[in-house]
Amino acid sequence: MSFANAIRAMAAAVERGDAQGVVACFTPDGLYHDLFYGSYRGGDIARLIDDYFYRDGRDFRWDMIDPVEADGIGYARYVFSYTPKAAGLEGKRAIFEGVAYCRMRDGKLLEYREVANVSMALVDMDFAPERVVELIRWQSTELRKRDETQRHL
Amino acid sequence: MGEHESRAASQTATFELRIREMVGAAERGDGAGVRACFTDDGVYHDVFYGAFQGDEIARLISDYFWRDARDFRWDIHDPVEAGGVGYARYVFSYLPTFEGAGEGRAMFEGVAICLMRGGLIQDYREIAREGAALAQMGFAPARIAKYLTKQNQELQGRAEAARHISER
Repeated sequence: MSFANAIRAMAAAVERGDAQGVVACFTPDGLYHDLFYGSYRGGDIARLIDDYFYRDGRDFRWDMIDPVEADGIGYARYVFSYTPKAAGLEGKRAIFEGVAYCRMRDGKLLEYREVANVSMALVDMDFAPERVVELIRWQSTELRKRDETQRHL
Repeated sequence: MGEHESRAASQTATFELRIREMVGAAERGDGAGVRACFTDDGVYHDVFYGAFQGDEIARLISDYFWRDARDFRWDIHDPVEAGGVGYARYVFSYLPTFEGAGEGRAMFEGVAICLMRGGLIQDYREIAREGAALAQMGFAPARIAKYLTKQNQELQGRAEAARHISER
């Protein structure tokens, strides 16, 4: 499967709540790194969808735009949105954009990562600015631990 | 290697060369060097400063980047191009120099998304976690929230976002 087909199949499976369909887009040892919920491997990716995505949201819409693949690496810009289930957020719709960047093996996703401005969705849902900045700082801590950022510190 | 893969590898090599030239020029404050990586009508959409076209791109570097900061470090990772669209993940940092900025470097990661024409950048956009830099520079949470609201409104104004907000 090409990257474009794999990433669109993954997004479609998420939209319909088909956790096994998401898992099927990955290699057996594939990793899904989610910005909100952390890292899930192999069969555990189903738990990310069932226990987290659909615990906290419904009516997911995920559009992959301009997917590009070369040398086993795939990128796709995306627009992602959902209706949050949390009390107090009735009538809200969370939306943000990001870029999925993946490593591929044998036509499946070996690793899914993303860069996204998720905090804009939190602000739009009226989260307190202090809480939003808390998330930003938490994500920044993760970035600072990587080898690739050491010369930037 | 098939024809498709060979073409993609060649495009990636050209894109990688160009995007690395661009960040190298930005690091050394060479506005004309950045501008030379673009087509004559090329547009640079910066997450903080907005859109600059053609020769105005040099002004983005000299009048904005280097007005507000120094000692830029910009690393490109995993560049890929196919079909005239190039992506590259990056880590970007700088030392802010404007009054009120906190001490220390500001850093964030992003992905450059470029439309390429004739081996040059026709359109540079980026999706980044730039809120991290604002927090590191000591911006008040309310000011960061205001910035993020503006970003969100821009996204919601696009045609591609219409189906995502249709039930609001």
